[in-house]
Amino acid sequence: MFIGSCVGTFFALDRKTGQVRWSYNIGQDGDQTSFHGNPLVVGDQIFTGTDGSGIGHVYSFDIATGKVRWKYPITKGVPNGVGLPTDIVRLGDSLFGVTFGDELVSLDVKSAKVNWTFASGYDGKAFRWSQSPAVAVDMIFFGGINGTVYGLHNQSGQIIWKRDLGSRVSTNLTTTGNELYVGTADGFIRRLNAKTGEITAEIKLETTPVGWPTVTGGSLLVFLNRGGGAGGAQSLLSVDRSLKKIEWRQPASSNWSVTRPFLWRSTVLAGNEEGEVRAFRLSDGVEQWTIKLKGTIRSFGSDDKVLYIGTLAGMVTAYQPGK
Amino acid sequence: MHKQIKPVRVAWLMIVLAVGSTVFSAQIQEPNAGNVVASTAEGKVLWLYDTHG
Repeated sequence: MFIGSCVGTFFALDRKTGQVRWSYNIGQDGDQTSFHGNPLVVGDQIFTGTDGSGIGHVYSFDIATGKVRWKYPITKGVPNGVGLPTDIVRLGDSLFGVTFGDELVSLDVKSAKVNWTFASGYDGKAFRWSQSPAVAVDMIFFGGINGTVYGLHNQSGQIIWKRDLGSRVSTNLTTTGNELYVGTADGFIRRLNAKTGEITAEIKLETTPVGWPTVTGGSLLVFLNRGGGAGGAQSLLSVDRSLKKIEWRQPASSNWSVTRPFLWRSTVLAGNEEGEVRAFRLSDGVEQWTIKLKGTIRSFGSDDKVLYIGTLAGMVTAYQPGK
Repeated sequence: MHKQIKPVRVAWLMIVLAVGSTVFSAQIQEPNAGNVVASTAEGKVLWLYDTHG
C-alpha cells in the first residue's frame, strides 16, 4: 500500500506487515510537504502529485524499488499553495492533473514531456483548492474555480464544449459512462452529458457539495459542507443518480474529516475529527459498525479483508473488522 | 539418531510464527497498542505504522 505523509514522505508499506518497502522524502526536491491527491498506479509505476509552499511536482516512482523514474516540477500556485494538489488521472499515454492556480496539465506517461496545458483564467490572488479532473472515452473534463466545466480533447487539449454553471465548482469531477457529475458552491449537483456538456439532471441541496462525489449502483454519495471547503463536512448524503431525491443522509457527530466516501463491502465508510470510522449500509444508510481511533481520520484504503486507515497525525492502522 | 526438539523450544517457535506477520520494524507499534479506543466491529488491529505526520 502507498501513503503520503504530511511531513513530505511517500511510503510503500507491506500490506501484510506494515514494514516499509521504500520511502522517498520530497523535501530533497524543494519546499514541498504534501500529497493531497490520490496516487495512480499504472503497470510498474506509481504517479503522485505534490504541493507545498515553494514548489510541487508530479513524480513517477518505480513501484518495486521507489526509484524516481522522472519528476516534473510545478511552480504555479496561489498564496500558501504551489504545486499539484489533485488526483492524477490517466487516459492512454497521457496523465492529467490540476495545479494550484487552476491549470490543467497533460503530461506524457513515459517522458514527462508536457503535451499541453489549459488554464481556467483564475487570477490566483486568493487561496483556492482546484478540483480533480475526470476522463471518459477520449475526453478530459476540468471544473474551473470560475464555475465553468470544460470538455477537452485528451490529445490536443482543444475545447470540445464548455458549460458555465454560474458558481464555483466545489467538487472533484466524477464520470461514469457518458455521465459527468459536478457540484457547485451554490448547492447544486448536476449531471452533464459528457459528450455534449448538456445538463441532463440537477438537484439543489441545502448547502455546498464538496470532496469526491462517488457513484455506486444507482446512487451518488457526496459530502455537504456549509463552509464550502473539502474537509470538515457536516453531512454525508446518498442521492439517486437521476438526481431526483435524497435517499438518506448521515450527519457527522463531529465534522467529517475525510473527503472521499469510501466504498467497502456493501458499506460506505466515513471518518470524523474525533477519530470515529463509521460504516453505513449503502442501500439505506443504516450504521453497521464503528470504531474509534486516536486522532482525526484522514484517509482509507483497503483490500478484500483489511481496511487501512490513515490519521492526520500520521498513524496508519491495518484493521480487520469482524463478521 | 536425530536430536529431539524439546517441547519448550517448539512452543517458542510457534509464538514467533504467530506474531511474525505483525511486528518488526522499529517504527511499527504493537498491535492494539491503544489505538482503538472503542469498537462495535469485533475486529482486530493487524499492525500500526507511524509516518510521523
